[in-house]
Amino acid sequence: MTKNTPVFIIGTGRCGSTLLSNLLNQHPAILSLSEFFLSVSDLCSLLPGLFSQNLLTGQEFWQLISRIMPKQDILLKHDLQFPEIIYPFYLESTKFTRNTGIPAILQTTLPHICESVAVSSNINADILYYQLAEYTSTYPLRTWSQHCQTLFSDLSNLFGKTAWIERSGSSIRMLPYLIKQFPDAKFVHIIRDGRNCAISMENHTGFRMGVISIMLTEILGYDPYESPRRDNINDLPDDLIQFLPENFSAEYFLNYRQSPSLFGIYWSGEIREALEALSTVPSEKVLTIKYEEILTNPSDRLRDLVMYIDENLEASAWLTNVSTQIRSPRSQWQELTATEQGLLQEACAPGFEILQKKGIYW
Amino acid sequence: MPNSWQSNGHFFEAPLWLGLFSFVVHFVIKMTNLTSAHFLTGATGFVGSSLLLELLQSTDDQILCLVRSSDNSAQDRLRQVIKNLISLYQLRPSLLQLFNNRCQVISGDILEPADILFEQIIQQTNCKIQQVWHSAASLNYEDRFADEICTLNVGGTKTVIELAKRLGAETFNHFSTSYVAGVRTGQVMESYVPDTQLNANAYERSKSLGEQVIGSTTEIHTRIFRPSIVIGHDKTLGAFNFTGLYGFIRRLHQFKKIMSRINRGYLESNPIRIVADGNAQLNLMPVNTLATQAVAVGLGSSPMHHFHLTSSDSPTVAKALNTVFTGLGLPEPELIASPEEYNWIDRQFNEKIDFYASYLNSGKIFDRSNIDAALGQKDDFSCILTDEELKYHVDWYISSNLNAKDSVQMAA
Repeated sequence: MTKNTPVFIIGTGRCGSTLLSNLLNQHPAILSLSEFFLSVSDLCSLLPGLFSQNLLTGQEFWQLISRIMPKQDILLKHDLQFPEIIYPFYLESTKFTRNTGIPAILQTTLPHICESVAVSSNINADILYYQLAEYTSTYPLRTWSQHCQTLFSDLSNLFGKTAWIERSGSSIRMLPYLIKQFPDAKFVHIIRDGRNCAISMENHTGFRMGVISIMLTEILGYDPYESPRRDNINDLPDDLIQFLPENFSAEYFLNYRQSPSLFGIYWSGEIREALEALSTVPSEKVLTIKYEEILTNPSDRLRDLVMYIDENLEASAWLTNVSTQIRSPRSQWQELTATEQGLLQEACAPGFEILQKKGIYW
Repeated sequence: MPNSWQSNGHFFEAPLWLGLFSFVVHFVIKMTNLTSAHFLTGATGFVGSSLLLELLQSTDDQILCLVRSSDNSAQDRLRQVIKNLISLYQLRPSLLQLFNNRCQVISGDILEPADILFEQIIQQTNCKIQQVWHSAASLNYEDRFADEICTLNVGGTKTVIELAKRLGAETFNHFSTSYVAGVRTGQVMESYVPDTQLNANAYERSKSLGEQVIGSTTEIHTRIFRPSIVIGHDKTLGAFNFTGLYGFIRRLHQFKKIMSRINRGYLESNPIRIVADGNAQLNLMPVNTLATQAVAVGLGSSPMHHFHLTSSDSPTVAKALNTVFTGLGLPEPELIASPEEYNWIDRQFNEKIDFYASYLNSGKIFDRSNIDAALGQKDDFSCILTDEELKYHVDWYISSNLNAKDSVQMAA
């Protein structure tokens, strides 16, 4: 039986947390939930509504997590989906395609779990999806976070796991809600050099869409991906009018670049928010891991991680298996021009300063 | 000329000259029995509605208003605007009755052909149009509106001046902008002829081209009024069109909210840099003062053609920016001379306020010789905006429009 101690990996995004999800997915006793909250919140744009304390029936809960999310869907339809979307929509055998759209929980979370089981098990993401649809319909009236905890525990039991850990990109945005609504939770805070995070964010279609969505929403006063309203659109500058869903084009999206500096500023802010929020949690409930140390010393850092999740978990065999899968990162800030490096350094400086006070340096 | 009466003694064939004589007599009778009237475009707009209110208060004349109709009838639409303004500007309620008695609404659009508008007008009224007041315009400035801006501001002006000629109006009062001066600095004379090469954006260019249309008109006396940046009522602060100063405030407010979502408190700790001439005057004109001065000139006998509807004294750019930034809870901006000093955030913000750059860097002094001579030295026409008054206008807009909207969105 699952011990039901929630564990969340949190990070700014593009900080190596997906690597952790993928490695943990191969542990025989750990249910690795990947991108659940990010997917069901449509790139964090729906977080306040999701984490409200309203009571939901099981069917309402299922509707929220199985919805086709407009921002992620438009990326998919224009072949701009980010690599974390692993549902094989391109196969003829799948229930959902690029044209139908993919339900939120099916984009990454369920296929990711199914990868951890043997092919011979006859379970695939679609089968699991429809099983959960039926299963969650029996859930009693509960809050969102209670439903989530039940779902995660039930999935753990279904797959014979004894612990579960959830990880989403940009999860620091969810951290205040997680702290409040999962009071028993433990947190694994993964940190990476902000300069490389920023470069990686700038290249990631999910992050870019997230920033565009913020700009549209704050100028219009509503989210044009969630609302049919189109008042105030004269207030949109020429460069943003193209991102209304009815005007969206892949070519324009790909050519619309922000600067890594913007994401450096974002990274600094997220680091500050994370440390402020985590300061309210007992220190024994927070494990901080430096991504670069996973690369240089995988055995020790990953062992620390597994022991932290549950000190009774076996680690040796798993470590032997996963240590060889760790690759060097793609983004290197030193490849920028000197000017760009300077700007990026300036943008990340506040985040570095906060971390240096905690003894974390690059 | 044939004279069938004389040539063959028939009494019943009226000579042509008699027919013409009758027509002229009939026309003169009709003209002398016609009510004197003004014809106004843009009456539902910010400037036009104030002109209408001023004409109602300053004259006993009939006022014909060309109004686009939507779901409501044009008449209802304009009545509602006037009703709202009586409240917003705290005017005497009896103005609504003056509107009911003296204002006639013609449903139509300046984009329609002049001959069709003319037919509509003569079918619906027997007024003699003395003066036409053309304030209808597009205030958009983004590039995607370039065609619309040109169509309305140039094509619309051509239509209305053609209409004015057909109506036999004596004077055509055209509302342009003092910023047809574009990127010019220093003293700007009222007689300045705009050069589209110096205009900073599509809106300014369209206004310059509109003035060219007026300038080439000879059959009718024309006046070109050039308001500066129009702001709300000088006493109640009320406004309902939020371009110009309000547009700048709104852009900054949006930028603040965007950056707050990306990094909470970032802008509060990192002052923005703006390329601006802090010592230049930011010329702002309350809408009711503008209307009072314009109508006073219109009813007067000045032979001049160009009039600046501008403040004679107004806060500096530095003062205005500081007032706006602190009003939004942001540190005062750092005013710099060159964009080379921008960081990436500065660049992003300044791109978003690119339309306003010429206002912040122009250093223009708008000459008021013509309008001051036309108005005389009357205190009623004082047009000085103090720093304190500017702060009232800025705070009014922030609290009644921006903060109020944010509260509604948060509640939703």
